[in-house]
Amino acid sequence: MHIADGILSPAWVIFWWLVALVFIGIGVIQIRRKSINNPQYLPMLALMSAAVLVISVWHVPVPVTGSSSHPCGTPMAAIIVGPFPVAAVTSIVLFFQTFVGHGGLTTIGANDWSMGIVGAFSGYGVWLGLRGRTSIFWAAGLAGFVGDILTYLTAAFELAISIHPEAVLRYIGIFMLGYAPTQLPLAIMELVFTGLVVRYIAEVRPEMMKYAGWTPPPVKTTEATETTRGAG
Amino acid sequence: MDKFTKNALIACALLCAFIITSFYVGTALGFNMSGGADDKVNSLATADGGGQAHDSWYYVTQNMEYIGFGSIGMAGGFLCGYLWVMTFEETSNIQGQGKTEVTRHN
Repeated sequence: MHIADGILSPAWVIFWWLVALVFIGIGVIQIRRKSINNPQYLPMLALMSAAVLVISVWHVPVPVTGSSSHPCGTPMAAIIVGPFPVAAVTSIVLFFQTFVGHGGLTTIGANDWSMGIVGAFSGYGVWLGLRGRTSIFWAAGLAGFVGDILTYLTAAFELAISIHPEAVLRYIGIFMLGYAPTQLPLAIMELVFTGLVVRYIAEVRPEMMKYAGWTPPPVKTTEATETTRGAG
Repeated sequence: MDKFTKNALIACALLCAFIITSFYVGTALGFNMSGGADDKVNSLATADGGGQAHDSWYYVTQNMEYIGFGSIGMAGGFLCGYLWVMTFEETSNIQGQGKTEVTRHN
């Protein structure tokens, strides 16, 4: 989804920047508010940003297609620190990634919209909808999967609407044909990765899940079960 | 070092090993590891009527990758090292004092 400089028309470059800036602004306000209320929020956000930086620049070879691509990491970050802050820090992540030839300076807005905003919000939405109805692994994992796929679908949309506004759907299909065969196995990898990480944190360090306003249910231990049985 | 920190560090080490290994395997098999599907679609978009894809930093310096990797690595390392204790201290065990303490901010 790293759209390079020069491809999008100037009007769409400005449009995606403006849209992204709204989310970045709200994200910065939330970061300030949360870090005042909880001093541990900022270092946690920094760690999540580092994770997104590494994950979204980590090219994994996909033997079936003979190419490589990368996961996103933003759905996982949104589950842990909240989606608006992720939209803000992803813009910084994308800036650093331009140093290593990923994306472009003028397209940070468009790339933030696809990965930092659509990826984070769709993943967070799936997480909100599924947690409590299924296991933490599947709720978080499906959030990672959906966030990953929608990120690339959005990038295809951004390219299509800028280059061929008269045939958007057709060109979304064409650009997705470039992304999908390589991205689908990685989306499944992101499902497993996100599910395992969030489940592990929820079980071992449940207090780390409070930043996005969720407290995991207490893990039932054998001791507690025995006590309950004894009392009953 | 508590169990969570130890597991996190082990996971980081395993991930690093996997990233390096997959990069070398991908490069050896010619999987376009530097650009991948993103480059493929960027080229497709350029060929389909989009503007010519280019790297803005190329006009500043051609060694930006080295500078970028170096500065990101240093900043990330210092940041993680500096913030690690603050992030996880809430329930971490302070060892060497003969007892377990729970430290909190506020």
